[in-house]
Amino acid sequence: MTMHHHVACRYLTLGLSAAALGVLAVPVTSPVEAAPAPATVSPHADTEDIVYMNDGRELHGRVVSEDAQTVVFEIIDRELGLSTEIRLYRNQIYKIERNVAIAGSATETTETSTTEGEAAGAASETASPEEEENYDPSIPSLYIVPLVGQLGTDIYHEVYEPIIDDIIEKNPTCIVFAMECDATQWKDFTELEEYRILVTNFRNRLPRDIRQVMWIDNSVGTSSVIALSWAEIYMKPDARLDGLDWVHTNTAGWQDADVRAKMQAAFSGIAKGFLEFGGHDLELGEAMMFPQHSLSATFRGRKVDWALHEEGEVIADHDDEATVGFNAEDARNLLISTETVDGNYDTATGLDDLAFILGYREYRRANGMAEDYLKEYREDWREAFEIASRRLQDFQEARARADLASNAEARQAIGEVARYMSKYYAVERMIGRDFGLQLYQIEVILKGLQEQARQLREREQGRDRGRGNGGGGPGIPGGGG
Amino acid sequence: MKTLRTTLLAAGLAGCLALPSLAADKVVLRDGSVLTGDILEQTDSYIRIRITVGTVVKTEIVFMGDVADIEHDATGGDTGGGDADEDANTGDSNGPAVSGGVSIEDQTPKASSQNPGVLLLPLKGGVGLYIRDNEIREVAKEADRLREERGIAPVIVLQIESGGGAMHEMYEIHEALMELKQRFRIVAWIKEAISAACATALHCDEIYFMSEGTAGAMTGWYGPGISLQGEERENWLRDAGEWARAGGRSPHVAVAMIGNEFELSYDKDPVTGKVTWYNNLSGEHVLSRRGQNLVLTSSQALHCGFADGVADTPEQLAKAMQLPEWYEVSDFGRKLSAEWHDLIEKGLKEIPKAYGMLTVWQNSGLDEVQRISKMIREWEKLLRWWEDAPGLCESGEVQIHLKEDIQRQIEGLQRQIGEIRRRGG
Repeated sequence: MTMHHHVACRYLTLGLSAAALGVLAVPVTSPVEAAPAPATVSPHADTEDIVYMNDGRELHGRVVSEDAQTVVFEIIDRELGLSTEIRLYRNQIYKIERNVAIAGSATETTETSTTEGEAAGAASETASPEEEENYDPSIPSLYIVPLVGQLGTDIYHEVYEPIIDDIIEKNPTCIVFAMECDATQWKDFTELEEYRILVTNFRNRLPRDIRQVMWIDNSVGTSSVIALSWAEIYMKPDARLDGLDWVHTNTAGWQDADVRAKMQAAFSGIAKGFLEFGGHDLELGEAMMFPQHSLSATFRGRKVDWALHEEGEVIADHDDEATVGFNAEDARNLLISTETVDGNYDTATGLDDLAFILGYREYRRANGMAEDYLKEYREDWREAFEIASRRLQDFQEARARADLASNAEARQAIGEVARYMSKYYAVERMIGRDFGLQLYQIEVILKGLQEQARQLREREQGRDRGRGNGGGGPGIPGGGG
Repeated sequence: MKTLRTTLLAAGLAGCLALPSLAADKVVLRDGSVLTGDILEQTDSYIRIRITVGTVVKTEIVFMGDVADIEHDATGGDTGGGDADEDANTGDSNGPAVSGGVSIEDQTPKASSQNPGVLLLPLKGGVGLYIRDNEIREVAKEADRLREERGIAPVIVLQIESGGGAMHEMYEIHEALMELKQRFRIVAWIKEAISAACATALHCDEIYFMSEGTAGAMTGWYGPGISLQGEERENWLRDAGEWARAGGRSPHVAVAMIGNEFELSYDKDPVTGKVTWYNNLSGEHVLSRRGQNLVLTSSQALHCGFADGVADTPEQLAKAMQLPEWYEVSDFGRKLSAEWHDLIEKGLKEIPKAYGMLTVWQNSGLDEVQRISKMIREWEKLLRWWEDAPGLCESGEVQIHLKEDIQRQIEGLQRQIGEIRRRGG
């Protein structure tokens, strides 16, 4: 994609002090009731509450009252000795820390102090399991959830169920979804309804005060709608957000204009449902799915209005033969992503930059199960699939030979295939796709082999009734696609 | 569903503690347990039976898939078998009925005259196969019963997740909904309502979307990918428009969801929120242009007034519907839907499996009578599917002989066995 108009990079302002009373910078979407006249505040309280806002601001003071939707917060400026109350909406808050010792107060403990050097942006070391019990719970924690590999096998909603439970137990400050999916390497299963379950599970079953961000290493294919389900997106410098042209490819072949329009609207509508989650413009999704659309962006402050024409301030796509995709720089400049951040979630310091950008001067890993569990799962099911594929070949070869030993071999081989398919849905799925074989069909094959064995035994015992050619039953259908 | 069956089993075993009655109906379940009591209602899908456990009188619902035999006005007396006695002290006969994933007895019952409560029916899957007017009507009967029992009818919530389906079923559903919405508040809660599923939702005076919800794409078409033409198309445009109007929505929206030549836009009064629809592009907000088919997302549906609200959880939906709280007065709808779903899923596997086994036995080296007997057994399995799930067999989703053809096959094979035996084989 070629940028036709340079847009200055925009950065989040982090950790703004709320010291300037009456000049609070509040997001447009966060209605704030008028503050009453500032009151004086005693400088002698030892603890305070700290509200961390989604836009990076830190508000120091005390929670006056709260309900399901809002928090009334008294901002206290101890230097000036003044305070004022504001009403904050919970969807703008990502964390509240209560009764935090104030620096220099009698109740301050050394464990919570932060040196200037540390405040400059370094991050804590990754906590080893042995150190867990000594960690400071007030330090923000990051829980990594890898979304790595092939959609529909590596990434499938049932696989992530235990992770959701673990997240609830660990109660991290922030979940980082680390996405690395490339449909050109591993062909997606494009059943959007399945990924809808995955996304809604993370959205609806986790506490709302846990921040969730998407960090894209690469996203080419159906994974891009999953990525766009999150509002806060970060991309690595070489990442792409692309690959939704399959919606057009899969629907363009309908000859009837009405049916074609129906199918395109239906599939793109379901895909755009994901963008609704993330608050992304539907026109953006439309242009990523259908090549005939142009796409341009017009900036209204921090908001971007997308349009399917070229009259906006910035033309993002003017090629009517290809869909639009985004590299990291363009995504950042067009405010699709929040920032470009390099790093690797699976190294000791690989999260440092991301944590800094997220506004965490210090952080710790939440020591969640997701990384190891998912890595092991990916390795295990792929190994099982390789074995199952080999055993299918063994089955075919053995089955062609009409003797008892080969029959036993064939039964054993196909039995093993069935066991792997039963154990891993991913294996069942891949066997279904690559070999056109379903689990229930294996039951019939096994029955046929048993019947064949019976006949072979009778033949050997000289009691052949001269019927049929072994009753081996149906074979494996022609390979699927 | 294992949970459901376990619960029904527990209920069935508990039911064997029932005090002997002078005359009672008896329902024998496939697992061998027996329920004795008074059958209050019997349909193709389920039986409602009142049983007495100890001194507690309760009503149980048993789905036909679990029933082996029914005896009406069987003499009571010792209703328990050995197994029942062994299990008599196990489990909690007054324990909660567990629906598919929802234990509604866990809810603190706060039903009051102010809260009618909710009866939720999941409509998930293809229209005509998984989604039928049958289940909608059964839920309405349950709603009638609840109204009699509680003095207030629950709100019926149709939770829709479907990519559409058969138009003929759509008209059956239309008849059911037009009749039932006169008596009940019926609400659509949309996760996905494409094509016939959207046409279903249109009937409801209230529609709520989940955030990811989509609705539209109602083009009617035939299998090879040919859209309705001529009079059929005109009739569908007219009917869909009327259904939209019946639900309080503009027919322009419905036609834009059917034909790609229809344009659709609207203006929205910034003060009153009143929406004015145009079947052209003159409105400020354009929803559908020439060459496009209309599918609404949640934000679009909410802004244009097609949807009355967006809710991702039952609690949010209750609030949007201005109910005091989310309270499901019965899990009947969930169970009904789950039971039917399970049956369909089973049939989609068992029917092709039966044909596979026919091939196995056809080619087997068993003696003639044995071979034919085994084949008869597979044909009988297929015949049972016609009895248990005629909708599945008619749907085209699975390849199966016509019922009469299966019966002919069985009769023919039985004749063969007769001849063999007469020959002394």
